[in-house]
Amino acid sequence: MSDPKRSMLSVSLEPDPVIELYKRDVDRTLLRENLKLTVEERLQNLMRMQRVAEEMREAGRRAFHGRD
Amino acid sequence: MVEIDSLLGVLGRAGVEFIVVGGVAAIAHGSARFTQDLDVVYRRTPENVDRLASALEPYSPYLRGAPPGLPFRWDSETIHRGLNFTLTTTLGPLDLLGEIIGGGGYDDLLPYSSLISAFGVQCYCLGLERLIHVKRAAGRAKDLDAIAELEALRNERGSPD
Repeated sequence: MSDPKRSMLSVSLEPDPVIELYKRDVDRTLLRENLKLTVEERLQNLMRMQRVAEEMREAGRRAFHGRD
Repeated sequence: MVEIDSLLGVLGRAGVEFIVVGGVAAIAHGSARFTQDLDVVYRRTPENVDRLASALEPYSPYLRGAPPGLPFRWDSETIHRGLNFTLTTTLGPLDLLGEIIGGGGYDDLLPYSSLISAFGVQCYCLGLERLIHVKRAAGRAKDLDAIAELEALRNERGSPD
């Protein structure tokens, strides 16, 4: 089993070229909108999204697997 | 779906010492990503393990992905024997972590955490800088997108935590 504390000491937070590449595709407009919200509002949005995702999954099951 | 408000309330009202980490912590910081479970690091003192066992017992914790009918008992002894538990509960999926790679346990993470208030509960949430640190330490390819977003968030906020 890996030692979590050892890993804690060995991580560098220098800019990573791979992560820098990924950063180009981050939609910062979404982040800016989220930063205007309170923590509670951000978590409420997540729960709303989870409900929508669940409803879409259920709709997909009905439509594509003939369960209705 | 995970009822974050209910789970935080249950743990908070029972006096469980825990720190929100993972995807929900990222969202608390402003991430626009999606997650389906709540990850928390719990303190592994005997008193806290007892509180954790009692608090969750009414919500039928069971090992996620395990076949039904296993002789799994949710109690303090089980928590003491194990470390990290990926659970289903009637309030949704919950990962209880005794330690995380790159971060250690509750006492190691606490100095890097801040109190947040949500749904009438105050609880600790891992700071953005340490969240980036532990995700980098985990070294998982699937986290690259998430790390990039967290680093972009740090830039947008203009300060480490």
